[in-house]
Amino acid sequence: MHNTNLNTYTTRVLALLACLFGVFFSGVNALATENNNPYLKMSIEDLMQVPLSVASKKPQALSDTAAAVFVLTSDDIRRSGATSLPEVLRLVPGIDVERINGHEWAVSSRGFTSSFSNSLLVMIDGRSVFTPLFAGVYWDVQNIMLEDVDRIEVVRGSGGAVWGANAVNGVINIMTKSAADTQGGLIVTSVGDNKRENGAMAIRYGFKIGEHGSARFFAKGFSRQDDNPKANGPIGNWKDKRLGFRTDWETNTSTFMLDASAYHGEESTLMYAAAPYSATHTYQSAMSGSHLLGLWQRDGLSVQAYFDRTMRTRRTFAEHRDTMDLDLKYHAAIFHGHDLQWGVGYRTTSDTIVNTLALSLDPASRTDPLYSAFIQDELDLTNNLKLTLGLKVENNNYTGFESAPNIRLMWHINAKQQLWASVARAYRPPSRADTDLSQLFVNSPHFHLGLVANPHLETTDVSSYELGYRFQPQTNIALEITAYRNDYKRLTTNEELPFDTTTNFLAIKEANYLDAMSKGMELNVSWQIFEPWRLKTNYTWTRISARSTGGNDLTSARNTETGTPNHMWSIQSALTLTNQLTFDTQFYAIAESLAHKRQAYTRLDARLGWKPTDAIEFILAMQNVQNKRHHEYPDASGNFSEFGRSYYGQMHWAF
Amino acid sequence: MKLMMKVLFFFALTLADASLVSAAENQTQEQIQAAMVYHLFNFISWPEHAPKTHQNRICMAPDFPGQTALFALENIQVKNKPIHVKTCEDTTCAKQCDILLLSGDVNPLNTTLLQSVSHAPVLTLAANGWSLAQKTLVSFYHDDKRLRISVRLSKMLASGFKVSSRLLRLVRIIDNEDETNEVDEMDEMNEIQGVQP
Repeated sequence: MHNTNLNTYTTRVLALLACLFGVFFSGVNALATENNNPYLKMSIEDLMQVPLSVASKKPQALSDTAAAVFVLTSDDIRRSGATSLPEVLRLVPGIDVERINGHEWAVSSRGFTSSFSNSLLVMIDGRSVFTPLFAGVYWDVQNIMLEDVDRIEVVRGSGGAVWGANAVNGVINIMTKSAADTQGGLIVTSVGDNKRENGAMAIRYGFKIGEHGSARFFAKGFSRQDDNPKANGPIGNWKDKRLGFRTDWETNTSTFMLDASAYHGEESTLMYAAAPYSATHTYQSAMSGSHLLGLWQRDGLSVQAYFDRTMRTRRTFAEHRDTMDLDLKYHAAIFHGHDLQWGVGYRTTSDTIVNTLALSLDPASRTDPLYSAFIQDELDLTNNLKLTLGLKVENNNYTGFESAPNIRLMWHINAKQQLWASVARAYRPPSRADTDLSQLFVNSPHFHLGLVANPHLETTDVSSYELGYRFQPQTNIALEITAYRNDYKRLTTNEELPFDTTTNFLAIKEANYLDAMSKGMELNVSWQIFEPWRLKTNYTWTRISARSTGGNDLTSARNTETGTPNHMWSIQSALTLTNQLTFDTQFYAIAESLAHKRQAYTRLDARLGWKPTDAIEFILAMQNVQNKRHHEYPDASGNFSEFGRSYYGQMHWAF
Repeated sequence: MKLMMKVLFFFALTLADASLVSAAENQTQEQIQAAMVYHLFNFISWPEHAPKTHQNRICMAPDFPGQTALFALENIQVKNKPIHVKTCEDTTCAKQCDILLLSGDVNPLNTTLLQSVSHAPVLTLAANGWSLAQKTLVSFYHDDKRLRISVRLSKMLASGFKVSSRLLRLVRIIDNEDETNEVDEMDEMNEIQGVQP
């Protein structure tokens, strides 16, 4: 058995390496054939007559995008004072980030706030970081160096036509900087008040490799307080340490990137004993993993492959998962007025679960392949009207064939205004946990309560309608407003099965007896008041209505309707006082959540940066400046952590 | 597993093929765009009050498309001076450039960079886009599957730039946001302010 697993693993690694070698040698081929730009020798008259037979892969301008797109730049991230990715995402309009405890967050887009974030697709450099176990994100292991993040692109709304399953309510793509842009050394060290940072240090060093290559290595570690007011004092630390490297190769004709990292972390979790007992226990969980990602691009062709390993050990279960992914995309303007993209992909994920009495998955080991293909065409209907048609099809191991079509229309009213509309279908197939998980909640001598697996769960369908308007009345003011409506079919409910008197077991089973409709509006305004002072404000209004279509679950519909804050407002100020001093503040106001019995709260974060030289910057940051202790999101047992004022100091030294 | 191996080897072979095919296709938009930027040094004269330290410096906002081909211009001589290329993320950097390349995207960084050089002898150029292209002195656009240049001539002349009549014959001249005049109708303007490279 062990040998079989080893052989399987070895075969997969060899297959991935074979592919990466293919990619690398094609990159080497590009290096070998490189010469000077032949067009430099042409006259300007001749240059303007050269037909563009193959359009290069190029970033699409935000003003050309018929979607609710928001981009956080490296400068936004640096000046936010945030020390983790979920905290950074608070800056994005329409994204609800609520902290659960020291190491967990509930992150959602357009409602359905959940600790599993399972309607939101999250990627780092195109590598999906959601776990197929519950189709959500383990935010506690996404601890990349924020200083190396180039930008975070957030698409609110359905992105299924390009990204496929789980891109139901949004897509977050975190793009890190090229190794060429992180040359030299950087040391970042932090100390805090134990609520935010016990201590953290990150070291990165980048260097050139010959004429075309560059690379960087980094190491990062931190220790933070894992707080929970129900525990008798501190319950332990959240620790994480990781190593990684990235190398980039660029020629006139192609680029090649290889990125890898490995990590190990530990965190403390408070466990509440199953009824009728009331004791609490603190136990340690361990997380470790690694990934290897390769990306090769030439003209419009892009090939990406990655391997990802995740291992988590908790008191109630352990998970070992290997994922391999291969994607090929092509982007070309083959016909006049058309901008065509198409691609195919293959992903396989294998897991082995160590089951316990409290939590088990059947089968304990499973391999799920996923085949996908997409095509998207942008047509210029007129000089100022652009139509985008997209379709993604997937074949998964749970529900078989699925499709996500999308139609988008962009109207450039004039140079200052754009209006866009979109109609899309997205879907969320059942995850591994949805169909295979059994869980025991109560295990007393005379009564047992638990969740039993339902392998017949169906896909949740979403029909999405969006309308957006962008307006830039002056060069220093930009406004965007988006309205949407999503119709959800077959959301999951928890149905009680008839009580089994022979075993005294009351079983709960997930089923698809819930339909819902969400509607909302998102407004964001950016105002550069004068060169050193920028203000941004976001407002999000969300309303959800839900109805049961059968079954006996009377609470899911009500919890769905009231589990998301109806109003969220934030305002961010970025003030450059002098060439050396910056002062940034963010204020957030979040409405109540009735389903979680959580009150509305406000929080004010501030950051003061002093950069005495180009090489050194000192930062003092504070969260919850007004010290209003508040709850944000409950843990799996329904208990809240309480967050008050916290602060940290940080030093950046570039050499 | 055998199926997966086949799929992976298929992609590896596809890569090798695609690489060879692509190697023969040198007509890329990025290279043409870079060549046009290179030629701008030949056909445009900078204001006389431009600091002497300004010597063929090309700066790009981080989201400017086609950076690979532009970085390849590094150290290529034009008018007996080497070209230097870099990306800029702050206003101090932008003010030290001769040409500032911005994507067509209206985002806070682009807006800040553009504002910071509004009174500096910096030639601003926007890639294909809608909003920002109306604010820069020069912009790229596509016409009949070809990459073309438009210039805001009045603003360029007011800023002290001089444009070669040879270039003016080829570009689209935009005098204000709502009015576009073809170069054929502007010959007299060429005679007045034109310089020969």
